[in-house]
Amino acid sequence: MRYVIVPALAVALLAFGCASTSDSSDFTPSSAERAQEQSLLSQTSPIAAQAATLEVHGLSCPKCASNVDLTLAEIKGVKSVEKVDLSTGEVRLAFDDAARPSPATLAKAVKDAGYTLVAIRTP
Amino acid sequence: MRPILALVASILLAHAARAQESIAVPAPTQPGEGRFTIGERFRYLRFDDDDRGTIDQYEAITTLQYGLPANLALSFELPVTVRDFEDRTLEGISDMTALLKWRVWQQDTSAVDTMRLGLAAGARIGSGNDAVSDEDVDPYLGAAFMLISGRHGLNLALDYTLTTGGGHDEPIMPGDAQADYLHAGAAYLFRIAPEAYTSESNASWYAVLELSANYETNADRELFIAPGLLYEARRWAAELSILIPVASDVDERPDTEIGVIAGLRFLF
Repeated sequence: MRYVIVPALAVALLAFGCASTSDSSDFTPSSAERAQEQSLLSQTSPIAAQAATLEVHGLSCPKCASNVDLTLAEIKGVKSVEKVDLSTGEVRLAFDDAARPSPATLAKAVKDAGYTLVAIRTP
Repeated sequence: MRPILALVASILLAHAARAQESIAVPAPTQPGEGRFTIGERFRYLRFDDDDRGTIDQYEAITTLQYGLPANLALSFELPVTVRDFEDRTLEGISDMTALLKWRVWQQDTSAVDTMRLGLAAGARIGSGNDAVSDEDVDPYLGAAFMLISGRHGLNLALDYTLTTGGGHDEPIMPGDAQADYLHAGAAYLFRIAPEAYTSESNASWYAVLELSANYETNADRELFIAPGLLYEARRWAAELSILIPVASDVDERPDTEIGVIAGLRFLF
């Protein structure tokens, strides 16, 4: 059984021991992000502005950024994904004039891509 | 011809391979709903057998995944294997793996940080090629946990394969013999560069350290350590690791001397 337990414990201790040097914000699991996502999922009216900045959590790598920008680019009403900033989780979108997406549509797309949308800011 | 066309179509339709996955330890990552991912991994293993001498094994392992609703995904792994014995060469499709993956829990706590827990159920399916596989369908159950915290990533995985048939004619790999197979894996990933993401970050380098333990109910057991490097850009990733045996106590199959894994993932 030591063949199973020893490697798992060794790597777990190594990882958690190093975690104090993280460049991220506080790592405190809570349901706050989920509540913010649920709130956005309930907002079905189209966004009024021509552009928006999404705050996305869980973008842990460059490929995650590509994954979320390709997903959002396919939404009807999204003209372009102008920037995905891994340092802040901010995703800048420009919308079509004719048909803009709702916060619920954007939140569902981000969720389906495997991440969490916690806020939408408009200019 | 149809399988080839299906594979080509899958490659063309493939979407982002998900990361920050470790190289050989399963991770609770999966494509979003309606998305494909594809990975191509090449593995070389050298075995030493008391009777048969040195055995070199070369594998090309293609993994396709498709995202379903409700945090589910289908995964299919197709390994093409060449086994080079001192007096002969065997080749063909070895045991395939078909899985239903379910991300049961996810907590994204900041721009980068996340924790995920996934379960997988399916089967290891013999290809019918007696040289490198068998005709059995062996049930598989697994669980994987991932923690990303800033520059640090941790993957833990545990899976069990229930052997239902007689096993391979010539057992080489764990799970080939007539015995159930338990695998435990742990991987630590450290983001070497960039030290901190900026608004211009487009790629990352990771140092990877993996530990894998295999235990079979015939008492064969082994432990490996695998240091490696992973490079991820936005549209592609490359990985390389060396598999080094730390402890081995196997009777039903040859000892593993060394292994090399190289992989490429593309984003279409």
